[in-house]
Amino acid sequence: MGVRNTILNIEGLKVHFDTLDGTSRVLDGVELSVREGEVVGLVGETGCGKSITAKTILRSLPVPPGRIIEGEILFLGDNLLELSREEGHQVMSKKMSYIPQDPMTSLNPVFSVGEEMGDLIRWHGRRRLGPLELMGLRRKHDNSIAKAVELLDRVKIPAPREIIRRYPVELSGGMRQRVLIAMALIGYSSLLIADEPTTALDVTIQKGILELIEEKVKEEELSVLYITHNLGVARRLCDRIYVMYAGTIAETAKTQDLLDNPKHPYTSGLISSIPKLTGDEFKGIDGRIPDYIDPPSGCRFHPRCPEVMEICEQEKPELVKVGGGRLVACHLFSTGGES
Amino acid sequence: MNQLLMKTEGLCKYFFRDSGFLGREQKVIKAVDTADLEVKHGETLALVGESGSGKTTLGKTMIRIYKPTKGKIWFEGDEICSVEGDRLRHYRRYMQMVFQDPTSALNPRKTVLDIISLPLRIYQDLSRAERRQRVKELLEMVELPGDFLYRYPHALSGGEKQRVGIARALALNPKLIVLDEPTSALDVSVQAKILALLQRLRREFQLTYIYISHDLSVVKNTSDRTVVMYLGQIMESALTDDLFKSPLHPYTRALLSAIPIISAEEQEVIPEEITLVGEIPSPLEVPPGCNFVSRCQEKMPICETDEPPLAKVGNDHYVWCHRYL
Repeated sequence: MGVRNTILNIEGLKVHFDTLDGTSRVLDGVELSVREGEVVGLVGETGCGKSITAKTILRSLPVPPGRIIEGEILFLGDNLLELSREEGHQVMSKKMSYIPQDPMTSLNPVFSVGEEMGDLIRWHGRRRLGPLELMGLRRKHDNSIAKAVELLDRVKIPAPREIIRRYPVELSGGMRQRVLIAMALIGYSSLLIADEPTTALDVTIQKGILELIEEKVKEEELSVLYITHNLGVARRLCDRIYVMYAGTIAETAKTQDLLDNPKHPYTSGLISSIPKLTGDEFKGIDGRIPDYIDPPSGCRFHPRCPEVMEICEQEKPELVKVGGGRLVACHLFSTGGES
Repeated sequence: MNQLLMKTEGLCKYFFRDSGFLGREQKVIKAVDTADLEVKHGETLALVGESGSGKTTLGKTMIRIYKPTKGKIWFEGDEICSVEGDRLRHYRRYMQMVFQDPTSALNPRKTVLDIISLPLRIYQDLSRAERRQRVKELLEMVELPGDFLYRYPHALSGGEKQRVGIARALALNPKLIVLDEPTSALDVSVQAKILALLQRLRREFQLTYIYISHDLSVVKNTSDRTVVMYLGQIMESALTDDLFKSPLHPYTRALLSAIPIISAEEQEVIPEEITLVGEIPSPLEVPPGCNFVSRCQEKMPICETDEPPLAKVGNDHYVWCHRYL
């Protein structure tokens, strides 16, 4: 560990949204990195900015209203924010893949699974197709259908030849998610970004999907940024976890370290909020997620923090090293505060 | 505690769908099929299952939001399955419901005061000032500040909306509240607060809860008895502690082993790893025999032909499975 190359490195990423009520400061200096072959979890509650982070990496942030204020996203040596549209498209389509959150709305209902996958296979990493391909006349000769069947087979869909003729409405949620995972496996991508792929599914189906992702990650040595709000899911898949709160990274550590010994008060609050099977008591966190138009000064967690100090209201804490490869953004651990 | 509050016998709720040429055929969806349940005073009974298992339909049928297709329901000894009109309204005030999605459960054009005072206007003859006073009390009970009276739902967070939903359910001093996944739309930090509130209210007002959920970790921490449902039928019913200690039905075991957990201590509570193959079949094409047969890993030939009988396997522990005869 540690010697592996960093393939994704985000520094000081700030994203604002212009709204009618004023500027919403959604991402406030996100720092995040993914190393080769590492499965990194990005965990946080609703509205903490985890999906916006993913969208910014994937260059699908709606601009306007979104605006990237500052920061850089280094991906395999390129700063994604400085690439032109064309270059960005090349990097994105060849080296990144994405599993979306909602399997119900992420497939186009008017195309069959085979058509949708076939298009993706033909267009993969390309900006132009020959006229015959475009008209679909070469469809018979190209191997897109065979490739689609092979991909569906890899995600353990029974009878893939049957499924490619079906339309999304005919498939269950778990099936659709498998199709979407198959589509994410089309290229030999370096980075897979998964945005809560199992939240819409039942636990027993979720278990199957998690096992599938786990297996594919091992098989293909994928690097993964896995976004979720469920620490249990993150524990199962991830090597390392980032905890995000209100557009900032609160803490990062190896999964088991983070769960056994959380440092940031928000992380401890989050972990102690989860009902456990052992029947231990669980308590929530007081207050509500802050307003992004007028966020709290200093540390954005300070109005809800049980260990708030004076400095927390004035200064934004930096991510500091606390040993064991852990980083924490909290004045309790920075040199200025108590240890 | 041991007094019976509600009892159902062979309760069924079927939905009919026209199909075939000009809708001449009728397909039956058995959303709830012969449910026998007992709910005791002051307990929390959890109904768990995956989506499509019929848990919400059962909850709604028990308190007569849906009219049952067959079967009987007794509420405090009175048969309420066939009552209508004013007689039904009389029982309804004792049976309230908190809905899953707090955003769509509150009318966006009404203030919190209007929302919570509606049941009071229907059932009680109070002056405007008295009603306002009562709503203020209710807000206090659910730990919301009094100045929320004139707010609209869009100005509230998810957790606050759910608190308003709970206040509305409490308005008429009910005896039984059906909680339909009250926290599934909320974040964990808020969920913990809402669950604590519900526990406190139950103790304070001697309420009885029917808690519908798919989250077994929550059920383990909140309920006294648990009923596991699959495709409209009850699979297993037991005291919650017993169910988690010794789950018997293959479906219950699979469900337990799928819970995402966060510590090694929890791992010990969970039975051996089982991954279910396949998916819940369409309720239009329920297999003959046991409903679970298409996904069961321990099926026997008899499961495909005969419906499983009820087996009593311990104190208050029932399983509907051929394996435990």
